[in-house]
Amino acid sequence: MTTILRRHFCFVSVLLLFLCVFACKVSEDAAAAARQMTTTAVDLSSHYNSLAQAVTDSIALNELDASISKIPFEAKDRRPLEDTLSEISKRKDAALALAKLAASMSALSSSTVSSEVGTAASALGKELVDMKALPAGSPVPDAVGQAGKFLLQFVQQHKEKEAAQAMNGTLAAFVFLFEKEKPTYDSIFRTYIFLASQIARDLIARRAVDPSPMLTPALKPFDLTPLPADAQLRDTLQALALGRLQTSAEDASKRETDASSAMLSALEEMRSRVHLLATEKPMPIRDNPFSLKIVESWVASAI
Amino acid sequence: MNPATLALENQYFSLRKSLPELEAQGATQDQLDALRTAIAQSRTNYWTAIGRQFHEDDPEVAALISQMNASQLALDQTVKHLGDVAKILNGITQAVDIGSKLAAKVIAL
Repeated sequence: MTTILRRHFCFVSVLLLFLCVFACKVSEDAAAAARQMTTTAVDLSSHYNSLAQAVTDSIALNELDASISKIPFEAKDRRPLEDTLSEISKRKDAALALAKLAASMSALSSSTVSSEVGTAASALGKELVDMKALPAGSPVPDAVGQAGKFLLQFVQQHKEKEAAQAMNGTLAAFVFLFEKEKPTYDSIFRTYIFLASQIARDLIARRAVDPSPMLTPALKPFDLTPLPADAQLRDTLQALALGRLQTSAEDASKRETDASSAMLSALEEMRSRVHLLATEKPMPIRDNPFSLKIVESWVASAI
Repeated sequence: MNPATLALENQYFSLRKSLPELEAQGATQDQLDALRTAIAQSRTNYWTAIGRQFHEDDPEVAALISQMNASQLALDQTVKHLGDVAKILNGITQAVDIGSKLAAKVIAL
């Protein structure tokens, strides 16, 4: 009898240990997913912020173009750029709302749920519904709004699988939006770089640019500083300056295209990881999506 | 990339690049002013198209894209070979008019 009881006790202990380990594993996965998703959403917001800065700078460049080359830039010309800036700002705000909501998923492992979770969930639903880019008649905006509400309930009830399913739907909307609009983002940045390089080119041609900083590699090792360039030196360096301008402009456009591709990869990677969580499969990778490094590097250099 | 938006982007880039070339070619002030107006219109066409969608399956849009690409190609060649400024400006006006028709086909999302 004692042996039977001992065996039974051992069995129950092993079962309890297994359940505990399993529960801990799932919580760790949920917590890891929450951290990764928060970083991804913050980087997405930074990406949109850099794009918004490119549109703001495009407005300033067109004002310069009006002054220097007399190309009209009146209120009616400015309006479509300002509309674009407003749309990009909405996406930036939605990404920030996603970051707050993702951070709230860490509440799954705590005993209390902050009231901020509900605020974050409803804010994200509102931001996405306000955006005009999701297809008319598509169930996506409604689904996202619902996902926010469900997520709040599931987090409050500590239902990890259901919370992950709700988050999966939300991420799908972001992937859909970014993938659909990526060529537009690339075009906006390409146009910004084009106009900047065109104005710089015009200024070099008018001898209105001092090229003496280009001499720095030759003079810096000897602690020497160039004098402002005279007309002869400006003429001598003009071809080199124009050549470098062309190369730099092409590099800048390529870095943006690489960064937007990397951002899309990171969003898709996050979606697949959250899907694992939603289907109660182990999530083996605990680091942030690798491609985010490319996004972060571009954001740091673009602003 | 949406082919209509790309066509409008290419037109804006091409016209903006042609300004210093036509200045160097000795275009008159009136001719340069006409080109500046055309550049501003092509820029507005491009930014109007950004963030919006076209009915890409609309045969009229496809025909407009085709016309615009053809007129742009001819224009680029004329500017490169430094032909008659008045002829170039006439080509620019026609190309921008096609761009405006294309931009007018945009629909709000």
